[in-house]
Amino acid sequence: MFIPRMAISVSVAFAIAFFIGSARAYMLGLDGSISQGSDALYAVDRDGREVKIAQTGSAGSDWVVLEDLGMPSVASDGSVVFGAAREWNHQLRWSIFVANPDSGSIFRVTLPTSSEGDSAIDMVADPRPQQTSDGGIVFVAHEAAGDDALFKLTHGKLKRLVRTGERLPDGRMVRVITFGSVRPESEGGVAFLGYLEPGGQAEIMVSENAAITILALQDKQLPSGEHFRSFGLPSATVTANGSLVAFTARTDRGAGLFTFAGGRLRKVLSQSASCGLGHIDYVSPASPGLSDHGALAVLGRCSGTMGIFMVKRGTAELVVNADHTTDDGTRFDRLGDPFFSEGTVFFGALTADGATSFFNIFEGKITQFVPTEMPERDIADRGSANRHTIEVVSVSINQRGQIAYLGSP
Amino acid sequence: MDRLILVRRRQVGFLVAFASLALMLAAPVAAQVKAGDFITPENGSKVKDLVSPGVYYKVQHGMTMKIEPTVRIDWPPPYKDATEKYSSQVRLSKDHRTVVGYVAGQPFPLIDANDPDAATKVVWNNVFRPITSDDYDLRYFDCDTVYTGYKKPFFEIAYGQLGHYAGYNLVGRTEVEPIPVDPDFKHTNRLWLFLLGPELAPEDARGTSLLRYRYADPKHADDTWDWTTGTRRLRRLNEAINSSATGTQTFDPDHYSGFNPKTEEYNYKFLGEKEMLATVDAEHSPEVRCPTDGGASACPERWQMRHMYIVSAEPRRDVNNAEALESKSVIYMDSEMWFEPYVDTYDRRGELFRNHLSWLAYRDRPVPDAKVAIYPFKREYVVGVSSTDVQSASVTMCYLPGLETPERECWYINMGAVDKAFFTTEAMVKMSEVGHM
Repeated sequence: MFIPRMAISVSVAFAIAFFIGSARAYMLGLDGSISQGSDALYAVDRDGREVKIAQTGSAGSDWVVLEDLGMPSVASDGSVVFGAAREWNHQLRWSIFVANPDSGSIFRVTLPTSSEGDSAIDMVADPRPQQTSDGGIVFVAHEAAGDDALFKLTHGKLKRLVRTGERLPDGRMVRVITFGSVRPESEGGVAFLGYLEPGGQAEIMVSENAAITILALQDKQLPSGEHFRSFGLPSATVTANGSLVAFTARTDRGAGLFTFAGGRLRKVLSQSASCGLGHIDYVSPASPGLSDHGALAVLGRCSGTMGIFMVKRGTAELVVNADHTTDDGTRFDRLGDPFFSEGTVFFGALTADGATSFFNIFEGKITQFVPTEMPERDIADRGSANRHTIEVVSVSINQRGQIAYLGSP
Repeated sequence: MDRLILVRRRQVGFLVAFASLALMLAAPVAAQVKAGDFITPENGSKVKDLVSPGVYYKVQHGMTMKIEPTVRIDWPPPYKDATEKYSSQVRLSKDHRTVVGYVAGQPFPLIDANDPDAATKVVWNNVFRPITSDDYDLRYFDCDTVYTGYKKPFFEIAYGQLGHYAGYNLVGRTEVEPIPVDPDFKHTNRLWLFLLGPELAPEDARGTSLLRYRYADPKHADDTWDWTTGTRRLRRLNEAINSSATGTQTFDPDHYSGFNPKTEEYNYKFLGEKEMLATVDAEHSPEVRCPTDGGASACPERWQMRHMYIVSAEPRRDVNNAEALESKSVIYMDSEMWFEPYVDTYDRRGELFRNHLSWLAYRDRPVPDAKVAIYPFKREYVVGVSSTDVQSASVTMCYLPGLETPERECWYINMGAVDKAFFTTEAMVKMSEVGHM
């Protein structure tokens, strides 16, 4: 654990050192600047206090105003990577930023030309950047030449891992790379959702050296005789047995949860699986919760009851249902999709009183995780620092439980 | 031997009974009609379960149908590409009423009937539907208001002619720059802009126009203004008026182009999915006035079996929609075209009130002799639309293109034919005061 963390810290330090020369440093929202907008990005610092990182409508030192904020991703060292849009030439164009919640610094990442570069990057939509374990950043962006591509930025070098129009060894062509689907794992592989021609929708993995593996393909027949119809977003990790990708999919027999590991595709949960109260009748298409040990959690419905389920040996064990009341009397109304951190299940929920919070489940006990106590450092907007809403679908969490999320001040 | 025969007879009888039951359960309702059938009030009972109650009312009152084979409807390629690129990241918000992470294309291409949010997702798909993702300008169309009845002669209560039915979407743009978002959205929060008018006929209503803004903020009600001939001034309207039909005609702005009120002001319920009849590949453009129902519909026209999602929408009276006129709208959403061929509304007693019915054509140009609006792919055009008050038999039937207007192409979709400057109160007043475009 120590060595990767050290490597990450060094990589991030290197990245910041590299970017600082060319990037403009923003201090958005951290100095009590303009707060006209309705969206803000929050993170929890190393002391567990909530910090507002950026806010739409806020101007940086160069007077450039952020018009939109994208979904954040928390790196293993706690830094937050996110996309933000600015108006340029009557268009909204996105950039990638790295923020450090502890120091309050934010840097815009200036992208070098791709090493294979023959086309400028044109970020027309949130690139949904994700930090990789080696300190790099992976993201999807449009190229001025007309294609979309999955890029990796490492040590100041930009590498295109895959682009639309690219031919695979089997003759198929990558037709679409789905934005927001990119999930890196710690050995350099990146899982994503895309479309192939011919073939249709597919779960795909691209390696560090740009080798592509098709994990699952639309209309492909499974050993059980069923055929894939559509896919949900993947989750990816590395377990003791190597790379593991999990995703939900619909087949002509209903929804199911699948894993791909060691070159083998397995169906680990089917729509008719037992779930204690009856049978699973709905599985959320969001990325399933996936731990480093291969544990899986999904949002689903068991004979009419919505809940979060742990998947074990082909069955689904209900760990929290939608109308659950916690020990402190908080009653849930709606649950968000689960995710793992250090073996603990986290989830966002709308509570019966209309508030939104994050919770975790540890040893069967459900605990409210955020909002935290009133922060001592209400930097961006004194007096209202803890009264913002939380968009639970935007939460990102790293393996140390550090989180970032969007909300409205 | 006798016993064997008896057993065999019993087996045969059981098998026949079982087969009959299986056929009853398995045979699609579509078996009630087949391609080539011609539906009239006399045999209209054949389609009773294949259309909404409101459409069935129209059949009973003389609207005829030519049953045709089902055709596949493809989306405009830019919209389809955007859906494949961006839909996976779209989620419902924390209260499951609005969308988060939407860029362009269809937000929720996979509708799972078991999903507790299936109805809300269907409605958001309707908000960002493929038919007009960027802008549209329907120039010169006309409408008849009549009382319907089987074999009733055409007698026009009112004739209306309008200059524009136009819209500009600031989000989810796929064909005309700026793509995918107009930066104005980030300043004003406006999701779309809409203008209807000026009314060109009848003369006493000349100039009447309506301007409406929809906002992304779930708590920000629509802003609507009108300019009326009598007062000759601009007036800001109470949001509730959008659910009411005013004047002689029967359309209300909340049911223009299907189901159109502020999305977050309704609770949605998924009622099911079913094979039903609709017109998605109309034979005529311009449409034809129906000769057998008093001119209250377009007929005879091609109808085909379609897979539909059925969703009910009830106003959230206790939260933000106390004054909506109807108690409920039932939306019949085509699962391939992603446009609702019909919507039935119910009054506050729960009685069927109005039916809103659209006839759509699927082609690469709005009319065969088009010279401007020609696309490299087929797309859907609404070529006829009716609003039927089933309690009074009053119907307004609109022809797009119009039957008696000078403009023949009529529909200009995703061509940049209108921009934001067209949708201001100033522009509307100028246009209205001179009474033309």
